[in-house]
Amino acid sequence: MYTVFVQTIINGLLLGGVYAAYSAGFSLIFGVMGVVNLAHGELIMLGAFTSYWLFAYFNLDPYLSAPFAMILLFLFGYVVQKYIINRVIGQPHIMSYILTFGLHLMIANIAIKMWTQDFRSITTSYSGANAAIWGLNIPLARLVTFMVALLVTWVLWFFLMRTETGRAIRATAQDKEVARLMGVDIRNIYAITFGLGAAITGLSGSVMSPFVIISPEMGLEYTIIAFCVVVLGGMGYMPGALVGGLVLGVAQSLAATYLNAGVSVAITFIILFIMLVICPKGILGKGSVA
Amino acid sequence: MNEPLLKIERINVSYRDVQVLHEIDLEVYPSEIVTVIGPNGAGKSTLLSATMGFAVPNKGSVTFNGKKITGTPPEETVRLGMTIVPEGARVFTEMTVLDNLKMGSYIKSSRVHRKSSLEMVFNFFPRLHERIKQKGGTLSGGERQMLAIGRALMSRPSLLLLDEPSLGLAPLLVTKVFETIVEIAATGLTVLLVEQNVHFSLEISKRAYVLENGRIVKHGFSEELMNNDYIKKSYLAL
Repeated sequence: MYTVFVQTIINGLLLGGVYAAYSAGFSLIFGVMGVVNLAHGELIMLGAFTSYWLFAYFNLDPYLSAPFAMILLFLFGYVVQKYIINRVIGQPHIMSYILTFGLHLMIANIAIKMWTQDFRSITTSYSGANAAIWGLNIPLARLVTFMVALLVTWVLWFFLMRTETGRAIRATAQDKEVARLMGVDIRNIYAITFGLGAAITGLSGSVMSPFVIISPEMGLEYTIIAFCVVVLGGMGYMPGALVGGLVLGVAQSLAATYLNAGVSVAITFIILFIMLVICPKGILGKGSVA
Repeated sequence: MNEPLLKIERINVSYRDVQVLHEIDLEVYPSEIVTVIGPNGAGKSTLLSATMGFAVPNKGSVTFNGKKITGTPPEETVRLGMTIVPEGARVFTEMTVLDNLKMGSYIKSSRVHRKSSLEMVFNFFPRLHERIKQKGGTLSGGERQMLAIGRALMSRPSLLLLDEPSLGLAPLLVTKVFETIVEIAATGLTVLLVEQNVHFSLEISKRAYVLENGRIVKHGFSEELMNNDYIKKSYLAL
């Protein structure tokens, strides 16, 4: 009884860590630019595929290919923002929804043309490995992803708080006109921000690749979860993604254990609904702005 | 007289479809304090916007330091040595006082002087030094204005534009703000001040322009304007 409960919580935290890992970028992009990136899941997909192909052709371990996914996705995000999304900055929100939804469709469909709709997976020596401690099972790959989530949140926080560019990103998020007065080229800051968001999202896709199913159409469901996580934690508040992810993970895990597995998705949206009604600024009450 | 640091020639500026400024001529010479006074809605802020580069004139030109800067965006203008304290201070509320000031020296040419600039700002405003770790949003109105002025100084400008620095401040603080502007100008900085507080701004400035309904209706030495019947009646309530 006790063991089941503890196991449920651990599963929940690990699941939440995965959620947090791939939601932080979504939160960053929203917080700085006010863009709800509906192509977020595609960034995860591209990260996962980067690891998949490097594994398939060079037998490179996904954890070793993660930096490649990061760099590739940074460049991808930078270019997408600079040449595409920057065109709708300052326009009504609906424009960025339409644009990023279009990107979602395009990226997913190009990926289908290139890689077919097949479901793929990466099987490593540790894919199904569990550490068993005191009768509890801890899936190692998920534990690593959880650590990555913590690390990403911390590094991002540090970057935003301590570096010139990070400070300029925060300034732009708070008041873009005054940021320009300080000499900040906000279009470049937007491109860097989107690049960073895409890089950490690609990284999460890469470190998730040993235990998720990889396919060109995988993105949308991740976008939806990321959206829920970020609303729960507070849109645009960096540590919020971590908190939102953990809360959602634990809630889903508890629902799966004590109610039934089918309910756990419904739970997500019930929590989201309640949250939006009682506290739209998120659990930590610090919506928007890094 | 030597060359003006800022020369605005016959500019027209429109906001959406409404023409706000008509044929504005204005000059600011090095080390002067020049003020633009006028009622609410006369176009004072728009004039500063157009100077800084937020609004683009549809006619006329802005010359700064001998260089045409008409239509240059603000992020470039600040690199040329002109900056503005925006109306309502607009400090970064979620950032600490120190981070606000550091943002002021974001451009590379001023980043190298950051340390000495900070010292200078804390000399002007010891209060800011006491509040160095506080968030901008927790400061009082007067402190925010100090922070905004300090932040502008951090970029080491040669021309400082001030948009209604006394707005919403208690009378005692208004005096303090104007005293500080005089102190800052005494270091050799050129100041273009836009104000509704006509009495104080005429007192501290050398020359003044009167802006009404988007047109310059009068200009001259502040001392003379102070004794002008029209100014006395309309602005000084004497």
